Amino acid sequence: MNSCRFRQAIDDYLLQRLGEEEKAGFEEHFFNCRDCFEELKAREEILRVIKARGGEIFTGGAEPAGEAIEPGRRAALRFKPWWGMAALAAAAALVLILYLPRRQAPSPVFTLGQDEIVRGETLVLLSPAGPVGPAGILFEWQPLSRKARYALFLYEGELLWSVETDDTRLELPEEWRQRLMPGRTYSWEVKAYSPPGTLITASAKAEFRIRED
Amino acid sequence: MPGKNEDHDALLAQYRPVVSFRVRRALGGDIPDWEDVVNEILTQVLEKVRNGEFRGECSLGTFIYTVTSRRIVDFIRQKTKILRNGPEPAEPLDPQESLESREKSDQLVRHIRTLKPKYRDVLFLFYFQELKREEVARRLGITPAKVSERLHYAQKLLRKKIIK
Repeated sequence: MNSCRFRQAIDDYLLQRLGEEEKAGFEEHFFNCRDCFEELKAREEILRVIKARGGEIFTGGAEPAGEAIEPGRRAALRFKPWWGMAALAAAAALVLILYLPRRQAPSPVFTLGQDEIVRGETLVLLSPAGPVGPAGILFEWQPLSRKARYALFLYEGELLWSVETDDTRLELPEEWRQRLMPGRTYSWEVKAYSPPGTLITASAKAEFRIRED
Repeated sequence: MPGKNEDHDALLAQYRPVVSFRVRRALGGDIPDWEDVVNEILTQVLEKVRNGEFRGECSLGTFIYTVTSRRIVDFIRQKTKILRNGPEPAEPLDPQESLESREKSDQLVRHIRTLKPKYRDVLFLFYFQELKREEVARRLGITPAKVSERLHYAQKLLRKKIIK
């Protein structure tokens, strides 16, 4: 393994995260550096297979004989095991959905993150936005026209919490609701992934503040 | 001059993979013309080398990179004019190549699945979900440096398997 400084750029190049200038610089480099080119080809192959067959690799399909593999997806996305709380939260969400009148919050003001891109369809966040009470916080967004899996990210400057769901509404688990402080402002966003796991689109970030009452 | 011809053959053999990679990445492997574009580029390079247009002011790799990039831009411009209202290109059909590629891909899938969960988790979040290192670190409760380390190790293991 060599210590070429361009090694760091290989994944960013393959995941299309380099700016035009950096990209051109890296391309020129791998025309001149056989080691980096060989590494690039190997990683491209890995990425291609993971993108094309990730569902099978990480979640489904028969496991190789004699092995007990915990699927990476499950491990990576698991919560701390507050299953009781989660069940209560789910029940509360169900009550909200079925029996309470649906109140739409006014449209929030969105600001695009500096490093965010939006491809194709737009994901529109509905609530929460603006000041919200400290009681149950329900995240809700408009569904896309195609089947998608959504990943929700909650920030207070840095990422606080994230979760994946097939639904377009989700209540913040009690454990996390209790951590949100009155008077503070939080932001959230949603990213949508196609069934094979490719990013379809990302929402803008919306902000909400916990009321001090 | 057989000596010169051999040099030129060696030059083509050396640079064909990298030119092919760049062209396929820029145009997409499903564009049936990509191999023609690669051949055109290598022919152009040979002509320029023979005509003395390559004067050694930059490395040969950089020279070939420049010729490649220009040809790709030209190709995209031409194709954009032709295909603006045209149909989508058909899927390439090469059963032998598809079979080989499928076998390679099956092997790699098996190798990834035999990795320890901590390596697979990182591959899943970083490559499959395209999360940034910091986000992967946050999800897994480890440092970004540890994410890089695990990624690097997983890549190294898989690369060994690919080469075998």
